[in-house]
Amino acid sequence: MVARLLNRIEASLKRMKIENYEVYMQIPEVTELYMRRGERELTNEVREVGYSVRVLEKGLGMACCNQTDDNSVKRCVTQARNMARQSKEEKLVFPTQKPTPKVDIKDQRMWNEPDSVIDEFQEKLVEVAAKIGVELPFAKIRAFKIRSMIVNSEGLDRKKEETLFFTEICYKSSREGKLSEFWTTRYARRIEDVSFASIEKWAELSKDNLNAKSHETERLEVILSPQVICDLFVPVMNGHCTGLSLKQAISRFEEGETVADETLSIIDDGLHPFGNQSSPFDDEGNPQSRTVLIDHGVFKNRVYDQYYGLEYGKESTGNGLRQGMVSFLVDEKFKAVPRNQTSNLEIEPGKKSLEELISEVERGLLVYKFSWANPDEATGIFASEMRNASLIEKGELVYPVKGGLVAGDIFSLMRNVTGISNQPEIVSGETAFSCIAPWLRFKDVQVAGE
Amino acid sequence: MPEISAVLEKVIRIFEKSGVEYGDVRFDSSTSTGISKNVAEENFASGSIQGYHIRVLRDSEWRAISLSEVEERTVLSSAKKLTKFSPTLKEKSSYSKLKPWTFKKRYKCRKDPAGVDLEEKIKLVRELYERLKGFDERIVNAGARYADDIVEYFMNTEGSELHYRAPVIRVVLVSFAKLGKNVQVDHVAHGGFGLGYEFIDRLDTEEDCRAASKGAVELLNADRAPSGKLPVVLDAEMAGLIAHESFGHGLEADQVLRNRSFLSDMLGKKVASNLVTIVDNSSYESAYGSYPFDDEGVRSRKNTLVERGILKNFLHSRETASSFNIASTGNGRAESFSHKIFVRMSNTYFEKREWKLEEMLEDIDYGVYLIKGSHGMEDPLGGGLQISSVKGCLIEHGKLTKLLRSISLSGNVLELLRNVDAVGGDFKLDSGTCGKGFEDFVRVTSGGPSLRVKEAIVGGG
Repeated sequence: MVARLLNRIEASLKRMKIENYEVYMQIPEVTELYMRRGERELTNEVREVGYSVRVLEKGLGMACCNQTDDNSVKRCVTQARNMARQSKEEKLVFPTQKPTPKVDIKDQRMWNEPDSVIDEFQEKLVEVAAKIGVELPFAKIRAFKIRSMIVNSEGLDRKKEETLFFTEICYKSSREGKLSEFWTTRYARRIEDVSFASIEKWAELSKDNLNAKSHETERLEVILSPQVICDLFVPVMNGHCTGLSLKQAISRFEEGETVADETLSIIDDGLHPFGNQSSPFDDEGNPQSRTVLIDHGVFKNRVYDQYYGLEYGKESTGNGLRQGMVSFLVDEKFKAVPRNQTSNLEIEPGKKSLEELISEVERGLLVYKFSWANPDEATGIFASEMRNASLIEKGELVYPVKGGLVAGDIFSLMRNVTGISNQPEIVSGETAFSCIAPWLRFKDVQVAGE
Repeated sequence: MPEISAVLEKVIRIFEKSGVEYGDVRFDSSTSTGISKNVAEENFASGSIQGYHIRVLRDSEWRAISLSEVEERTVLSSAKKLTKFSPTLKEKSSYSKLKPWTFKKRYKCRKDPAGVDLEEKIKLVRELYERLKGFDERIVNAGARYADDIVEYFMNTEGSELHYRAPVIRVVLVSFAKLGKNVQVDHVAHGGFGLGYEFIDRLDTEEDCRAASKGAVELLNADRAPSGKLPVVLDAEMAGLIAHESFGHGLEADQVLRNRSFLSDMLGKKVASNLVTIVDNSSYESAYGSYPFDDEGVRSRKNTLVERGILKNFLHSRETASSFNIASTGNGRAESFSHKIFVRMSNTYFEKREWKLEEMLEDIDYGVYLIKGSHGMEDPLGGGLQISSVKGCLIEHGKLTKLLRSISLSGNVLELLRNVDAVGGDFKLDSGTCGKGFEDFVRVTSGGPSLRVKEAIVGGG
C-alpha cells in the first residue's frame, strides 16, 4: 500500500511535469497508555499515513497531507508547486544517493511487541511506587514504530524503520499535609535506556521536597544533571552552531575562537548508537555524521543541511532535520519543513565521578531538575526555577532545595566549567530532544531566592 | 461534508447496539497555509490534515483509536473493534449525560482566508519582513510569519450533532538586534479565531514592526535585572502568564482527580487579594483560544474561577465533572484527532479594575516592572512560580528608570496573588499555544490588566 502511494505521488508529480521534487513519507504506529493514580485510564492507538512534497521550481514550496486518495495527492502536489512558483529563487539541488553509515535505531522487541513493552513498563512504575512508598498520580507510556521513506528527483531512495519510547511520569509523596513530587519526561530508542535504577531514583526524588528549604540570593558553585544540561545546552548550541545561524548573522561563534573552558568538548553525533536523533540519513536523505563543534573550548565546526552546505561550499553533515525545538516531532515529522539543526549533542565525559564532583564543593547546589530551563536560543539567557535540588556544604549533600531561580547565560556557563563527570547518559529534556551528557559543575552562578 | 455526519451517525449506532457505557466520535480537519521569511530563507508550506478519533468507556477505562484513514469501512470496523475491549478495572464508570443539542455554523468573514490569493499573503509577509529589517542597521535578522488554518469540526455524542468551520489566523513578528557579541530579541504576535483575512487589515502592522525592532535594539543597552525579593509591577501579558501558567493549571480538575493540585481543598476559600477576579472564557468573541463547543460536545462559556479573591470553580471536562457530580465547564480539549482529551484552559485572564500604571509605580521606592510575557511553566502540585518576561524596567522612587533584560519570577503563586495590591484599568490578551506539561498543544490566550505585587522573588539572566 505504501509503495503504491509513493508511486502515485511520483506519478502525479511527473504528470504535472515537475522535474525537481522530494517526497517524504512517514507511517507511524503509535500505542499509548495513560495512567491515573496507578490505574489504566486510556489506551489509544494512532494509525496515520503522512507525507510531504517539496517542489523546486523557481523557488521551493512544500505541502503535506495525511490523506491517500488520488484527489488529496493531486491537491498536495499542486499546492507544493504553487508555493514553489511564488517563492524566492533558490539554488538548492536535492541530495543524491550516497552510501550511509549503519546505526542502531530500532529496539526489536518494541517493534514486535509494543503492547507487552508498555504493559511491562506500567507494571514497573507501579512496582517502584510500592517499593519506595510513593504515589503515582499519572503517567504516560508510548511506543512508536515508524517507517519512513524519502525519494527525490535526483534518484535518492531511502527507507528506514525505527522505534522510540516515551514516558512522562509523576511520582508524589506526602507527609503531614506536605506534598512533594518528581515529574519528568524521557524519550529513548530502547526501553532499556529508561532503567529501573533511574525510575527508582525519580521515585526517591519525589520524597526529597517534603524536607525542602528555599534558598537565599547568592553566587555559588552549581552542579547540573544531564537532563538539565540537555535542556540548557541543546537549544543554544543549535542556535549558534549551524550554517543557518551563520546566515542569520546571530551566531556568536567563529571558527578557531575559544568559547568555553578547555575541559569542555561538544560533538554533534548523529550516529550515536540508539541516540534519539541518530539515523543513517537525515530527513533530506543525506548521510548523518559525527561533527566536532567545540574541541577543548575552541569552536571548530558548524553542522550543515543540504541548503546551507551548498550555500557555504561544504558537504552536508546530515543535519537537515524535521524537528521542533519545543514541541517534539516524532510521528508527525512530515508536517515540518527540514531545517538545519543539531542532532544528538554529545558532551565529552570527564574523569571524576559525580560523588567526587560533589565532594570538592565547599558550598553549592546540585540541581536535578528545573521547572523548565528554556534558555533563549539566541541570547543564551535563562532564569529557571529549581524544582528538585540539594544544597552542598563541605562536600556533602545537606538538604533538599525547592524554589528560587538559577539565572545566567549559557555562554558564561561554558567558560565557568569546573568539573565534568565520567558517566554520560542518553537523555532528552523538555526543550531539547536529544543529548548524551554527563553531570557538569560550574563556578560563580547567580541564584535568586529569599 | 454531509458524508462525515453520516459516518459519525453510523459509529454511534454501532456503540448503541453494542451496549458500551459511552462512546463518541469526532472528526477534525485542518487546511493550513504558513508563510515565513527571515534573512536567510523564505518558507512557504501548506497542509491538509484530517482524521477521526473514536473512543468508548467501559468500567472506568477508556479505549480509543485515532485514524487518518477516512474511508467509511475502516472507520466502522475500528468502532466495532473498540466495542469488544475488556477493561482491566471492574469499577462502574460515572459519566454524566449531555442534553442533546445541535450546532451548525460556518463562521462568516468578509475575506475567507481560503479565498485570498497566496500572492497577497506572500506580499504581506515580505512587506512585514522589510519593515522589521529596515528599522535599524543593528537589526541583523528578522522573522515575519503568517499562518492561517481553516478548522472544521464534526462531533457526535448521544444525539448531539455538532459542526463548525472557522478560520484561525496568526501573525508573528520577531526582530534580532546585534552589537558585537550581544544579540537581543523582541517580538509581537497576534491571533484570532473565527475571523477572516480582514483580521490583518485591522492590525497596525507598521507600529507592530516598529515595536518589535525598536524593542530588540533598545535591549542591546539593557542592564541585567537585580536578583532577590522586590516589589513588582506586571504588565498585562505577564499577568496573563500568572493567571494561566502558575494558577490556572492547578484548577484543571484532572489534576485534582490525580491528587495533584495545590488548589484541591481550596474551593470557597480565599486564595487571592480582594482585588483579584480571574475567569476562563472559551466564548470570548474572536479570541485565539475560543471555540463554540469543546471536544466532548459541551458548549463554550465564561467560567469565573476566582471572584474577589475567593476560589469559585475548577475547570472540567465531562469526565472530571462526572466525578464531581456537576456539569462540565466545557474545557475538554484535544490538540487534534490523534490526541487524548484533557482538561484545558481557553482564554484565561484577570478582570480589570481602575488603577493607572503611574499610580501603581508611585509608591515603589525600588522594584521592577516586568514587560511582555516570554514563557512560563506550571507546578500544579506545588503552586510554584516560574514565569519570564522578555524585558523589564527598574523602578526607582516611583519612576521607571533603566531598561532591563529578561526577568523571571519565582516563589509561590498563592503568596503572590495574596500580595496583589493594585489592579490596572488596562486590558490585553496575548495569544499562543499551551501544552499539558510538554505536549498536547492547544490555542489559548491569557492576559488581563497590569498588576502590582507587594513583593516577589525576581532574577535576571
